Amino acid sequence: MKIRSQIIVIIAIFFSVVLITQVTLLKRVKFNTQNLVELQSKAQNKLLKAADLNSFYRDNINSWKSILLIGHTTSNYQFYLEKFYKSERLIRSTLSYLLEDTTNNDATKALLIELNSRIKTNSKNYRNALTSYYETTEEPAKIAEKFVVDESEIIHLIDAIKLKVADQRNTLLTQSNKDNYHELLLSVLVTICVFLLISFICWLIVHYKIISPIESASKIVNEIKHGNNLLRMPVNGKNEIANFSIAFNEMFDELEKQNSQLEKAIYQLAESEKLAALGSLVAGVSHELSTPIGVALMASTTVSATATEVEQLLDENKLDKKTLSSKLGNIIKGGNLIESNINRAAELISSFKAISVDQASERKRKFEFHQLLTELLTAMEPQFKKSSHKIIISEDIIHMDSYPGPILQVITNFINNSILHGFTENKAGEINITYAVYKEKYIKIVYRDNGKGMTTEVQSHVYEPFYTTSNNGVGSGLGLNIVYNIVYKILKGEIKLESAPGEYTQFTVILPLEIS
Amino acid sequence: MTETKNTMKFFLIIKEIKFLLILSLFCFYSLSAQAKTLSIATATSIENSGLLAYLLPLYTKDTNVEVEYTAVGTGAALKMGRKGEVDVVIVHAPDSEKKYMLQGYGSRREFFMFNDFILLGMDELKQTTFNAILKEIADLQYKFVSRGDNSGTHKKEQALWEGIGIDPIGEYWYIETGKGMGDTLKVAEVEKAFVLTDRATWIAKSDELKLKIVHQNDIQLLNPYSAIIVKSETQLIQTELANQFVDWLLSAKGQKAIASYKIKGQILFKAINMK
Repeated sequence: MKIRSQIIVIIAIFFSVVLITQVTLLKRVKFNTQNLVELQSKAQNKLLKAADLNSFYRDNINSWKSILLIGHTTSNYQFYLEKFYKSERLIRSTLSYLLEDTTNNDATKALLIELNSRIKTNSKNYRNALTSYYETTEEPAKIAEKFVVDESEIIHLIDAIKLKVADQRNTLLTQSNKDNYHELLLSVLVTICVFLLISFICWLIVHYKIISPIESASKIVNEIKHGNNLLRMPVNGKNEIANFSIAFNEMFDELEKQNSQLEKAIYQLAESEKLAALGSLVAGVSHELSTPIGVALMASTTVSATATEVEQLLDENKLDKKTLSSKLGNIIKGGNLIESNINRAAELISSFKAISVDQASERKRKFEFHQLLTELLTAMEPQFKKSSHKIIISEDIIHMDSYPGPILQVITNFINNSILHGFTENKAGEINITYAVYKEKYIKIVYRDNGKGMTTEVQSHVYEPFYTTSNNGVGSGLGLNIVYNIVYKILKGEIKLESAPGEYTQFTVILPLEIS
Repeated sequence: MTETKNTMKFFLIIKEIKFLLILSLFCFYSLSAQAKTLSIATATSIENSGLLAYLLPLYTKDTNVEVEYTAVGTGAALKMGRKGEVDVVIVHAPDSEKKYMLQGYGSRREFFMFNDFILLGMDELKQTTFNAILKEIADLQYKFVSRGDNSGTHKKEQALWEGIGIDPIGEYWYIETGKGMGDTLKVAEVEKAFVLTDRATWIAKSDELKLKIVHQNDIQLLNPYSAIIVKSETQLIQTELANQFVDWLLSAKGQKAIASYKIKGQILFKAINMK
């Protein structure tokens, strides 16, 4: 399920839970309040009844006394008798109501039971007193006096009961308030817990479904950056992150495609550079060749012309020793010129052949380093002749089993860079190529020119493709990039750059003598 | 307490004045036409039934003696007798009467008429003997209404409860009214309860009530009426009049008069002497 919908569902659940708890709480509070109101009114009723007991009992006493003192002489006694019985019934029903109440505590119950029995006894005593009063001449006042103590005790009991009932009512009130308060607290607690739980779940979702994938994406990008080009994001499920992963992977596929295209282009450019270099070499070669061959041609024409002259003079018999000797001298001179020039041409050609074969091929073979260098210098002589720059190389003989072609490309490149960028037109530059065996298995080649050098800024960019310090469009900016790739990828070596602006530039290349 | 004493004294004083007035009136009447007055206190059932209203004028016609009566109920009547406030007491409570005589407050006691009590009610009862009926009422807690006023009927009823060893006072189904018989019957009707009544009141009131006779003609429920002359050392004239009255009640004339009192064709009080 989509993450967005998951979060919406979680929030919906949260709201419904909160709603339910709130509604439940409200219902409970309402129910409690209702209960409380009921209980309160019941307690209030009870209190009123307990208070009524007092007035009923007093009515009872008064009507009884009235019967004694007033009633007997008039038919009014029936009026008081009726009141007596009525008040008695009220006392009895109120007492039974109070006794039946289940909320009485033990103390109240005991008091009520005692009151009940006392009232019963008192009633009987009243009746007996009335009967004996009718049947004797006892003074009503005296009869009434006998009951005073009992009556006051009963009234005290009634008051005590009223107090207890009032107490109960008050504790009920405070208890209910406490209960309600507890309910409220509980509900708040529950809501907070639910909220925390939901937040936690949301955090879990965000962490595991969003943050984690993002972090793993960063890790994967890092890995890809470090060379693991084929690494891709895992695609799990169909949510937003999955879609992102798919897009991410497609992007990297695209990048990979472009990268390989770029590599191809660079390779092609390098090849065309090579071809261009070769081309310039060929141009140089053909230019160089044209001179000796031209001279040889001219000399050969002179020689054939002189020989023809001699032949002609012979035919005309005008040939003397002096003329023959001078003409022969010319012919010999001519012949020497032809020989030397043709030799020179042959030399040039063989050098160029060696260079071009080596330059064009990436075949590994055993060779000697010094010889390689000399062949290169010979090939490059025409270029150097124009300028006043010098190249000095070591003389050591070092045998290698490696790729001579690429090595030559590297040195050629260094030399070209020195000429094109390092040296200025007016000053004569000097190139030193020193080399020696290094750590038994390697050869350390130190190329140094005394050109204008490079700043640290330039040094940091120098191996980047298309980076060039020339501002007149000369050079493709690929040279040192190619050198870097050759040294590390083909020759399995190292390259280090040192330079002081205005003083020198030095490349140190360490190559294994043998590449397996 | 002093207030009630004063009220008592006040009432006594009023009583004295009344007495003096009556006495002077008596003297006046005796001077003019030999008119005398007898004061009696009776049980309420005699008044309720209308007997007094029927009988007393007959007596006055015969003897020229006016009879003033207060119907207060047996207990109060006896009390009045004890206090010497009346000349004759007509009640129907044999035990109390005997006590009264023993205490020496009466000079003469004559049983002169009777009727019976009946049990009224609205519910069906299973038992048939009176004691069993009372027990059934108590056990099943049927409502029972009582006069509760120390009247003859009330005393009879108390004796009957005592007879079966049950004390209904304080039970929620036992209602004491403190009222006269007629009013008590009305209460019994409203409460749909059982009630013990004298036949005379019942005959007089039966048309007005929905109650039914549940038990009657039981020998336990006999109801004898007696007249007691209040002993007095001083009131010689009154004692004379009282004796005259009681003699008349016992005489053939009186008995005939009693026996001839009917309501709805029924005799209310049975004479003892049917000569």
